[in-house]
Amino acid sequence: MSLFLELLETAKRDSPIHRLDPRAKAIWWLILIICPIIVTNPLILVALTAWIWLMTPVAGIGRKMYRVLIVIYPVMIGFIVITWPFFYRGKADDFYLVNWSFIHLSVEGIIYAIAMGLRIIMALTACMFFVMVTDLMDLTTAVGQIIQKFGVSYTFPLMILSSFKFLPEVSGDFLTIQESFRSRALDMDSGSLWERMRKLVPIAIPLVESTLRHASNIAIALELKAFGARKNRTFYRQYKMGPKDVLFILSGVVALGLCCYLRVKGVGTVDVFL
Amino acid sequence: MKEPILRTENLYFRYPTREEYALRAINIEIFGGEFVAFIGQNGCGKTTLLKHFNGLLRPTQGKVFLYGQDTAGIPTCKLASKVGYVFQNPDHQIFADTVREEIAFGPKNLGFDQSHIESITKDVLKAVGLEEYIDCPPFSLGKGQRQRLAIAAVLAMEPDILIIDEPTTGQDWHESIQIMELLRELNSQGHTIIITSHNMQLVSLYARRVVLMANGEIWMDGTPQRVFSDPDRLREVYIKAPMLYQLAHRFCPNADLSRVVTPEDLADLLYDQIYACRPASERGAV
Repeated sequence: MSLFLELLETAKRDSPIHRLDPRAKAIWWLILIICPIIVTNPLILVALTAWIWLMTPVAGIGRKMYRVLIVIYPVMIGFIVITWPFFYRGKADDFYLVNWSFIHLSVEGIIYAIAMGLRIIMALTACMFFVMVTDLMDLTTAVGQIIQKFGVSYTFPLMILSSFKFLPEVSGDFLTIQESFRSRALDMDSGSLWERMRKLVPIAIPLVESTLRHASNIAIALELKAFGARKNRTFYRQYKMGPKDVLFILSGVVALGLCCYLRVKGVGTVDVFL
Repeated sequence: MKEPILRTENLYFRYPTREEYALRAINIEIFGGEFVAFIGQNGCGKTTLLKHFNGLLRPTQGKVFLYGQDTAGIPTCKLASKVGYVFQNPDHQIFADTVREEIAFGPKNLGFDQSHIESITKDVLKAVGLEEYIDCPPFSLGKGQRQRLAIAAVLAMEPDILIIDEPTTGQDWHESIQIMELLRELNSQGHTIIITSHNMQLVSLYARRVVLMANGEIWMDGTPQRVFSDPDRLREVYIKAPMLYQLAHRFCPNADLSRVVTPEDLADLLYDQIYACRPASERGAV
């Protein structure tokens, strides 16, 4: 959970990408998520992933993103490459390494698995990049401004924002409470799964108590700041998309257009290698 | 030569998701029967260091020795019988229906027999002045009482060393004094007491050794008189010495403040200064 806190902190940095309109970054992110749905050609996926990585030094998050993804990448690739070939329904003329009972391991299956792995990797990289360059507070406020124009109350985005802010607090409390019970000689690392779950019961009580107290404090704080006094609230910070934001969205649109074009041309899928 | 009961050797610590070290080159020895206060700004590494003493955190580099034994590989639940740790917020550890059950939790984990648990529960509750609340729900107690209950719950495990993270936070002066008197009493019974605190007044009154930390390092380590009589060093880390030392330093900037412990000591020092300023012919008249 400390990783989650770390990501939230990184999103508050100051860089040319951090300064972009959060809505522009959200649109760009959505576009980048669609790309690996359209194309499965490993080369295109690698190029798109590399493009995102090239932007990380600009945002000043290169090292941090590397430290997070270096752990996740091998797990994702390993899981997909290991499991996918067994489910790949190949053709009769595929080059089979193992073809027995339900196990059909072919070279084509492995290539297909790598392509699938790269899809996940690309999407994951885009998601991580978005999370590390977009302050959730900014994003929620910007979205809140838009939806308020359509008569939707700000309560909804505030609820989402509160849950994001609440989660690290609860997790921090959980870790502290866990430590306090360890300090009272509660051995939480040994025993069967059932025994370990039973040991969590005493922890649940102070955790629920502190969570309720936190929630109550937030509610009181909101009321004290006159939240809900008017149907529509005003915003201190006004978001307006500038040329840089439009350019950023356009870069995503171009990437998406290119993916569509390559797909139409028949080189967008992994099939070109099979 | 007296051996330290707790010792760190070139301890470095970095939280997994942080790039900078939270603790750097910590070499400290704590001896049996000491009353040590760790002071410093928020985030200077006090709590992080103390969590190494009972294995809640493990050094990134360096070692922690408890009674000469390297604590690496010894789980916290085992170290807890020697090093008791009371968290800042007592509500983070209270879970039982009654005070009695709350106290018995730790001893049960350590495998104490029932009769011993019964007797020790009564003993620790008496020590913290909560014996009349033995069958009460812990959450019905006041904040100061809950803090004392948390101390009692750890004390019931009979640790030699008692670490209390900010024992007086959120307490009024009366409650703070009650807790600090309790700690002094435990210290006089032979327990080694280690606290962290932002209350310099209480630190100067109760601790016999003060460790000043800043930026993950130990800056000063000595008696309260020694640490608090160096205002320049304290100012660097935004620590304000207790009023007694501020006055002493203001009126007697060049005097040796190591003998100033009480207001009476300060009065004596001031008297000496004034006396020294009088002409020789008048000195005998006082």
